[in-house]
Amino acid sequence: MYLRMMAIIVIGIMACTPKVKTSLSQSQQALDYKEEVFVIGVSEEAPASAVELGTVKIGDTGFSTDCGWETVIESARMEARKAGGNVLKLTEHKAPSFGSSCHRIKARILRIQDPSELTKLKQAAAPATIDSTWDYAKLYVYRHKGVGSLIGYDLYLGDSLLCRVKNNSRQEIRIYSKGPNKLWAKTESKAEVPIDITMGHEYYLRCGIRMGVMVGRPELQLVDSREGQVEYNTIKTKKKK
Amino acid sequence: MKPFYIVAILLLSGLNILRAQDLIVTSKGDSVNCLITKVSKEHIYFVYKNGEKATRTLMPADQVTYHKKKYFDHSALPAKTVQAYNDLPRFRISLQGGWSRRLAKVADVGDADLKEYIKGLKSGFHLGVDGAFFFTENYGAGLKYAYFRTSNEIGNVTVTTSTGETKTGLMQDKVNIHYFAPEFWTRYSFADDKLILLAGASIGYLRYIDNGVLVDPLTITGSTVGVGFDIGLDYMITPHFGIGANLGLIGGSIGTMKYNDGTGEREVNLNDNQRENLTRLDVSAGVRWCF
Repeated sequence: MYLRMMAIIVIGIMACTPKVKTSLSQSQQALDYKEEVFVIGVSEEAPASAVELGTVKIGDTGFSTDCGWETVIESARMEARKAGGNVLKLTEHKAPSFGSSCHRIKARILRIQDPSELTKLKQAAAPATIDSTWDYAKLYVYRHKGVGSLIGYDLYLGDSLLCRVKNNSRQEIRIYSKGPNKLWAKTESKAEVPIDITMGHEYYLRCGIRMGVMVGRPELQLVDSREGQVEYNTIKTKKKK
Repeated sequence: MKPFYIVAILLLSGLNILRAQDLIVTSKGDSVNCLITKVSKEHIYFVYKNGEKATRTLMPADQVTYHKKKYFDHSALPAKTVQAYNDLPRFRISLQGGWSRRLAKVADVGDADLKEYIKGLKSGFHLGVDGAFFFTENYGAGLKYAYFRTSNEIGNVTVTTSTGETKTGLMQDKVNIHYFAPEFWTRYSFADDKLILLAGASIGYLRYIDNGVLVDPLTITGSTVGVGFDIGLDYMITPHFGIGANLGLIGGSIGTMKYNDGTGEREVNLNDNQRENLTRLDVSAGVRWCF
């Protein structure tokens, strides 16, 4: 009985990381450490010239806790690196739900041999297509489904209220004041991130909830525009009637 | 050396580890200033400064000619990044105490008062100290000591001695149980290393001492092999100091007891259904030091 209990405890602790399953159809040398793995979103098309090296699936062991969006994407990127892939094409994304608190993804590991084609792909996908005619900047605010789903909070830019951040939501906000400022939100504690706003630029703010003493605490993170765009588009909100 | 200085040196060395940075030399002759996060047979995983941002990447082991942790004194990566990727501290010491309850069923002794008396000996308090060294991020080993105490007494007890003499007086038990064992630990951190979930398993020495009175003083002792399990959650207030809660189970049963009534000591082998079951549940809270 004691040995069985010991096994259960040890397995429970070991299983906190996401489950990674990689299936390779081609064997390649690992990607050079300086090269980046470019991520293509679920709704975007992969270039026809890309060669598929295999697939990767990041799932939930049932005990996984460290399985936020960043962790899951980073795990998939690492698998792509090992396989020699320089592009990761997401084919499926499941947000945290009642059955699992993890992001779960499936992706194809691709290789684009021609560096110029890869550069073209990156340029075409670059979301920060700065429009100099704008007299505003765009802020994309999003929050995945997950823990603390009942807790919402107000998001401020300096003294101005921007929006209410609810579970499983995304919002596009135009900002008309430029220069250094702070994005912040507060529940039982305050979270803030500095931002230097330039007109015509796009910014992506990932919002979340982390554990608090009495109530969940806001979590704010400005993310890279390209990564933010991919992540923002994975959020499926309910359509308002 | 005073304990204060020892603690100060350990804390400072811990801070230094947080700021140090590692070196990888590639087969092409490149030197990479980085933070090595994992080394496996096939790959070496690391974080390095790529322009303005920290990038996680890897390199096949056959492309690495040399690597050394903490090669540089200072990190080129932002302190927050280093902290986020850095290992948890290797050493953990915890001091705890709390409520305990022995789980063995009370034998059917017939007398209701005696049964109540024995029931009164089931609950008590415990104090403990654990020290562990984590040889990897998630696995470690160390030593555990736990002390349990409970007591009860009842007056006007009449007993008949082996010589047929009848005596009336106090019946008292002061039960002390010591558990000393090597312990294997696994741990997992989340919430930016502020919360650490731990589980431990141990096998060690369990010592039972009952300083009792049955009209006359009487000491009952015994020892056996014990097994322990722990599951706990630490909340780190600073990277090196925290508080925590723990649920522990220590089990074992004694088959041979020594009775000493002041005139002599005798050893009694207990039948299987008479063995002294020491299994207990410990619910505790305490402080933690990690460095």
